[in-house]
Amino acid sequence: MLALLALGCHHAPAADLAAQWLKVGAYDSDGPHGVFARTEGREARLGEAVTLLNLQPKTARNIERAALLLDEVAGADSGDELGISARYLRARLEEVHRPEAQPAEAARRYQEIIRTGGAHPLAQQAAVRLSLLQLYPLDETNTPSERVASAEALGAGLGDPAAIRDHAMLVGQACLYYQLPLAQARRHLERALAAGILNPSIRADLLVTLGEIARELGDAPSAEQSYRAYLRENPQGDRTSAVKRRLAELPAPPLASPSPP
Amino acid sequence: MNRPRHLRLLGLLALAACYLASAWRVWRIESRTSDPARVHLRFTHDMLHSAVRQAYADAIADYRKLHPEVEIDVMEVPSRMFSTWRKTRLVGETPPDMMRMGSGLTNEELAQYFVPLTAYVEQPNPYNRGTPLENIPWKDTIIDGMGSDMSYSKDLLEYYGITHVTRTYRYYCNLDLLRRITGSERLPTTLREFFALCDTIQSWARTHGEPVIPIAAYLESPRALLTPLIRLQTQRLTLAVNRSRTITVSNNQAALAWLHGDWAVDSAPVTDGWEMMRRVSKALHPSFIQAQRNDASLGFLQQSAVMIASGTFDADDFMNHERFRCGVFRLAPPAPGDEPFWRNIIDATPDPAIGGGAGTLGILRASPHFDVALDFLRFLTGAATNEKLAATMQLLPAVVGVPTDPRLAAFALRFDGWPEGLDPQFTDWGNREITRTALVHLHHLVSPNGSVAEFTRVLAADFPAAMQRDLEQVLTESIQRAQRMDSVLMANRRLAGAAAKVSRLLENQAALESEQAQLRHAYAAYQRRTGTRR
Repeated sequence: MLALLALGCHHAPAADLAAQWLKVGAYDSDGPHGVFARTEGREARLGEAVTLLNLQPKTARNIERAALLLDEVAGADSGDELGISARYLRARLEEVHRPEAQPAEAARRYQEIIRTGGAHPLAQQAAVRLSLLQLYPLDETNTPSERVASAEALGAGLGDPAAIRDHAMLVGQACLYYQLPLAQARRHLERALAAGILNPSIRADLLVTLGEIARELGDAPSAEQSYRAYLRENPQGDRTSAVKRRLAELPAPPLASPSPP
Repeated sequence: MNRPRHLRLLGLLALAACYLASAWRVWRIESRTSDPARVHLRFTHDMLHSAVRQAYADAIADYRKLHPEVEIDVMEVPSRMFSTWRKTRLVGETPPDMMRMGSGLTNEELAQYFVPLTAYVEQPNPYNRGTPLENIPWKDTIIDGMGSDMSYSKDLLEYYGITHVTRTYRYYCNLDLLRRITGSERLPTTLREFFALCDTIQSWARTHGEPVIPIAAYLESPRALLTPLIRLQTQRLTLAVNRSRTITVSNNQAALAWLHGDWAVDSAPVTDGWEMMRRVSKALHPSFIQAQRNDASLGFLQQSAVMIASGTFDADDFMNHERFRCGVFRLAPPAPGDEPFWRNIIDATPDPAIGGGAGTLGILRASPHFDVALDFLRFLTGAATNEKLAATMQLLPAVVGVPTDPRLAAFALRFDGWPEGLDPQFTDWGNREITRTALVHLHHLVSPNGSVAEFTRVLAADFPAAMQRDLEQVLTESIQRAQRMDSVLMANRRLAGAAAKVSRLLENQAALESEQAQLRHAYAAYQRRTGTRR
């Protein structure tokens, strides 16, 4: 019996774990969970926690078990790749996985990751997550301008292009949501665009938004640039006709004054 | 004594015959699929029209001229049972090689059972060689750039479906009946003429004692017939309330604007939209809400209605028969002077996104012949095949530059105009509570004794509770999506060579959760403002 139990728990080769991660990446948690659970090692514990979070039926007990596993992985060596992944997911667990979200606890954990994680991409993403929590608190303890200012401060130290992109996008959208000055929103959204938006539908929305903002601000050349970029990238888009109309309605550029003879 | 014995024998013989026929069929399929020299593909759709059947048969025959080793079976499944059938096949791991995409497919199903085609849609379609589309990425050869929900999953960031045919919605008109009533076959070209025609038909029916109504309709008609009218009226309103300035709005964005108090069901443009719906619904049979689609089609074919609003998919049934001649027109938007309707609109709306599920196929992971299935989808969307396919089906081609069959000229996709505005009925959003509430109260609007004032009064009373239920469902679903995405993200972080995908997933996650946070924030503020915390 003991031999059977010993056989059940084993070191899986890295290739086996990669196959399980591949399945989790295709939205399958049930199958890989058993393999992770039977396998020794920190990576398998991380896998067990990741799959527990989406195991059906979702139970408070599974969430608690996942939290313990993530603490275990993070506790051993919290600065390495596995450790920081576990700490990041632990913060996400507080933010979105518990039956009652714990934004304050999630924020505390994100701050800790930002403080100790340096340039690690997940530490940079932690700043994005924390910004989101600060931008939309469910109470009214500070003003929209203060919320945006604190999120802007968090973005100041970012160096990872993906984090810069996501952070700038969040702050720009918050500026629009709170109806703050359009120039402020535009600054962030242009930064997001420059960082490189990958999702074609997000990019299409952003180009239209930038065109509309520039139009409202009376900046016809910038509006034209954004509208033309939208048309170039979306020749068959759902707003192609509307954007063409906007373009046609832009005021003509002033005629250049003739140069002196 | 002998008779029962004979009957028993007959029964046994019939049973044996059935068994042998089944065994022969199984053997035949097995022998075809197990021959390594042959490739046997199967695909499923639910367009059970003879023209569609013929078109696929022709396309398959043409494909087999190029690839004689490939056999292709078409499996037809009625629409009503398609979702159940699909789920059974997917879970039972016995799906065909290709299946029509459509509503009801979850992210999990897409990710687990369908092959992402993202890497392929960026390559040119080899079946466009020698045409102007020769060097254009496959996705840009499809008229919506594969941007519809049927082709591209915004959550999974992958392309899954390839649309090969599509449809538009128009009014079909019985020209013989029209001539009999009006003395002419002139179809209405303005909204005013349309309303005038409806009045004329009703007055003629009363005078002549004929049971003829202007428009045949059924329970689902508000979706195709009435909702577009109100979304035309909310075009300007949408620009005013859309803080994101994206020109179009999703139901989530419309809900945000409602929570901010930027519009309500009795705002002036929305009320004008209800008024427009009332004007059109006066031309329908009073009990259309109880009618089924077949009742309405039958009413039109039996000439008890002069018009019917429906899609290109009915063109074969409505136009190719001997009973009467049929014309087709697109309802014109309000024109200057058509007040109060003109003041709210910017322009006519383009035809909605093309991704009708029936004309969009995806490839299953379980297919042993992915390369051949992909090649067949490329073949269906090659310019030459697509033109023939669409013309035979009597549907619209999905490929850029492919001409529409002249018989379907009136259905040709219109891309010009301004997108629809927000939908005050939030069609199919959340728990569908708002949609249901609006439908339940619709009789206050469309019945002869109804009025816009009475409809908006009862709708406004029930709207906030319905909104809250829908919103809570939307928020719950978005949390579940965020939870699942965490696992997918973590998994991809552990995989070599997935850095670009991780970056895309993070970008998507930030966008989705930003919108979710805004909804949650606006909802909390709304509850504080109105004291409606549930």
